[in-house]
Amino acid sequence: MAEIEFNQVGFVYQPGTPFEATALTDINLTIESNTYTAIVGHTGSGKSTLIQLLDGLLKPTSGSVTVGKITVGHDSSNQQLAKLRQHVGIVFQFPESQLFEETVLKDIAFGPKNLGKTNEEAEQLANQAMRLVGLDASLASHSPFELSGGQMRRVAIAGVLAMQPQILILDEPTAGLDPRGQREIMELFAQLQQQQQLTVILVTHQMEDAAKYADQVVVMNHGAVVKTGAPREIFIEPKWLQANHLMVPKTTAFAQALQHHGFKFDPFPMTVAELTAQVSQQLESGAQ
Amino acid sequence: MFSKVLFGRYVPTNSFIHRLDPRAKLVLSFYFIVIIFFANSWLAYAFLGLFTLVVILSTKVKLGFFWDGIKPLIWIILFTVILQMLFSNGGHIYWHWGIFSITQFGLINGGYIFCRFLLIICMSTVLTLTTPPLLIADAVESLMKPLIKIKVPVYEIALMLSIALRFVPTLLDETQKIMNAQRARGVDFSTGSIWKRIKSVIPILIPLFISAFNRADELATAMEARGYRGGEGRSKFRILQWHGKDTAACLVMVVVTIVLVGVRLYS
Repeated sequence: MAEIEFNQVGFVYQPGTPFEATALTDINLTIESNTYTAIVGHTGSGKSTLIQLLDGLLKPTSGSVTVGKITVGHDSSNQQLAKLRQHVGIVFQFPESQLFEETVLKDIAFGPKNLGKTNEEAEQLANQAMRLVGLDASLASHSPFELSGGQMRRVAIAGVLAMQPQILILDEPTAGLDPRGQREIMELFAQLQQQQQLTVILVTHQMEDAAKYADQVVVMNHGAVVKTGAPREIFIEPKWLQANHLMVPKTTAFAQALQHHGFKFDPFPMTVAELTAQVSQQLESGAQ
Repeated sequence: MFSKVLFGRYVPTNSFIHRLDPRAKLVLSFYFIVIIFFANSWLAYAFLGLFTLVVILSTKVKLGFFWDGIKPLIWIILFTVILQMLFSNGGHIYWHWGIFSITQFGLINGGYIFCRFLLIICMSTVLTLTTPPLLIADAVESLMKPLIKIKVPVYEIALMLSIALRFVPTLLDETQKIMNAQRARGVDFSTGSIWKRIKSVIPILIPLFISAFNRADELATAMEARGYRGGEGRSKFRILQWHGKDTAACLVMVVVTIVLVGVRLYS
C-alpha cells in the first residue's frame, strides 16, 4: 500500500502579497509504508516545506497530499489536518527548543495526553519512550532544562515517539550533536524503523546517512523533486550530484577513486562495511 | 500567521521620502501627530487628509500596505468612535435611550476621532514602511544625545532599542517554529474554550522565554569577546547626514502648520 502520496502538490508562501514566494512546484511523490526515505537537497530547496505539508502544518496551495486514508487539499479543514497529525510524528531541527514542562516525564507525556490518553496511559507511554531513546529512568523527575544538550535532544525525540506515530519525520535530527551522539541517534531510528514497522522520512545534509540507512532517496532542487531512487542509483553519478549542489558520500567518493586504479565494484558500495568487504576480497584474490 | 504583522516591515522603493534623514522623518511624523489635534473643523481635516494622501502617494509603496496597517486597529477605532458618539452631549439630539444619546456634537466628535486615528496610523505607517528599523534606532539615539547631560543612559537605550528591533523578526520566526513543533505534538491553538486556548499558550511562551535568555547570554558573550566595553568612546559606522531635502521637508511642515493655524483662526 502506498502510505504517502503527493499529487501535483504546489506551495506558495503568502500568496497575493508582495512577499509571495513559491516554495514547491508540481511535486509528485510516492512513499511506501514501512520504508526509510531520505530527502536531500541544498538549503532552500523546499525540503522543510515538504515535510510541513506532510504533517498538516501547512495546506498545499495546489494539488493534494494523501496519507493513509486522509487526503488534504487546499480547502481541507483544520480538523482534517489535526487528524493527519495523529499519524505523523515529526522531530524538528533542534527539537530541544520545544521542551517546556517541569519534569522530563511530563514533557514526554504531553503529546500522548493531547491525543486523548489518560494520565496513567500517557506516563506509561512516556516511560516506554524514555527506555527506547536510552534515557535513564532516574532522569524522569528532573527538569528538562538541567540536562545536557544531547539528553535534551533525546527527551524531545522521546516526546514524539511517545505519540506512537506510524510515520516518523526527522528534520536533521543529528544537527549539532557530537559524532558519537549522531551515530547513536541514527542507529536508534534505523532500529525503530525495523522493529516497529515505521515509515521514516529523513531530511538531511549528511549524504553518508542517506546512503547508509535509506531505501529510497529523494533529491530536491529549487522546489521540485529532481530525482528519486535507491541510494545506489542516486549516488553513483558524482557529476550529477555536484550539479545539484549535493555532496558525494565519502564512501562513494573513495570507491570511485579506487575504481580509477583498477578496482571493480559490483554492486557499487554504499556503506563502509560494503566497501571494506569488497576491497579486502579483491586484495586477497589479487594476492593469489 | 505572522506574515500579516506590519511592525518593523520596511518596503524599499527608494522614493523621496525613503531618502530623507531618519531624524527628520521621526521628528516630523511626531510633530504631525501633535498638530493633528489642533484641527477642529472639517476643512482642516480635509486639508490634513489631502496632505497625508500626497505623502502616502509619494512613498511609491502600494496602498494595500497602509490598509494592512489600519486593519488590525479597525475595532479599536470603531469602539472609540461609537463610545464618543453615544456619550457626547450638546447640539441637536437625534436619539436617546437612558444615558445613551446620539447628538449633533457626538456625531461630529466621533467623525473627528475617526479622522485622527486614520491620519495618525497612516503617518506612522509611512515612517515604518520607509525607514529601516536600525535607522530609526540611530535617529532615536541621535535625537536623545542632549539628554546625556541629565544622566539619561542614551547609549544603553539606543543599544537596547537596536538589538530589540533586530530580534523582532528572529523571535517571530522562533515563535512560528515552536508553534509548529507543539502543533505537531497535538496542541490545538484554534479550537476549544477560552481557558483551553490560554493554557495552550504556555508550551509556546516557556520555550520562547528560555530561548530568549539563552540568546541574550550568547549575544552578551559574543559582544564582550569582540571588545564591547559600553557606549562611551565608541565611533559610529552609520553616520546620519542632514541634507537640503531634509530642511525642505521641515519647511513643508511649517507651511502645513501655518495653513492649519490659518484655517483655525478664520473659519
